[in-house]
Amino acid sequence: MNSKNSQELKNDLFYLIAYLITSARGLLDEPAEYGIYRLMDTTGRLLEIMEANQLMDDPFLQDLKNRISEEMAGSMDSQRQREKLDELLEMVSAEMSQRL
Amino acid sequence: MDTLDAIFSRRSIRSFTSYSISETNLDTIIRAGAAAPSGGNAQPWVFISIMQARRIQALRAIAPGMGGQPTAVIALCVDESRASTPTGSPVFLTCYDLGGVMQNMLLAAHELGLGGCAVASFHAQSLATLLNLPGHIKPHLVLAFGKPSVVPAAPPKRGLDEIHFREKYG
Repeated sequence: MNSKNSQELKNDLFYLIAYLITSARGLLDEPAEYGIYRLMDTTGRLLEIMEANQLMDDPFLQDLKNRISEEMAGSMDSQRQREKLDELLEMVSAEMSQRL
Repeated sequence: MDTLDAIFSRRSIRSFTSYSISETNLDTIIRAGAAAPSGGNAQPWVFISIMQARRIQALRAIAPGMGGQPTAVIALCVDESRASTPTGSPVFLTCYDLGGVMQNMLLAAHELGLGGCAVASFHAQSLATLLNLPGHIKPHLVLAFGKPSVVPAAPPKRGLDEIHFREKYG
């Protein structure tokens, strides 16, 4: 990674840190369910940062990013959310097993 | 698109393409917001529009409710010096006023083939710092706009028999 890319990465991570602190503060006043969105959004943002900094050479993570992006665009429905998260975790755990 | 079509087909958009919103379309959205009714015609609102990518990146960091990567953001603020009418309309009316602004802007964006989402999850003090807001200009809502990349299905709504009664409650 050259120094320009490294600076971009640091910049992206700086904003992610600001996002995490803001989310932590916000959750003191917001419904507990919003925590789920913040964690999923953080996952999506991390994957976005990896992609923007040419660190996304893993098809599994690319697929995961697309799925999370679709999920985040959907309406807030806790039943659907439960099913989708279980589905994502099934996918992730199968991948983890393969990588052992 | 007629008005009822727009009302019933609008969705909250939280995923956007990289398509940039034109100045003309942004101007139309702003004018639609400014056309909203307000208590005593006080028009207590101030709109700050943001289109620079760097600024939007910073806004996304302090507005966790903002999904996707919008290409335009409008902060809906209240000028507290205008929030009370000469006849003394109460300040709480400003929330209703901003509700009208929000809906007008979202419907205007929808009509233009764009999408948007209202965001209330943000840190007001950080937003005020980023937008250089003086003390009497308070941010209340942030609207994120862009070209939709995913349009969600209609969310479940309560049946009318649960929320609407004729002549009297029950």
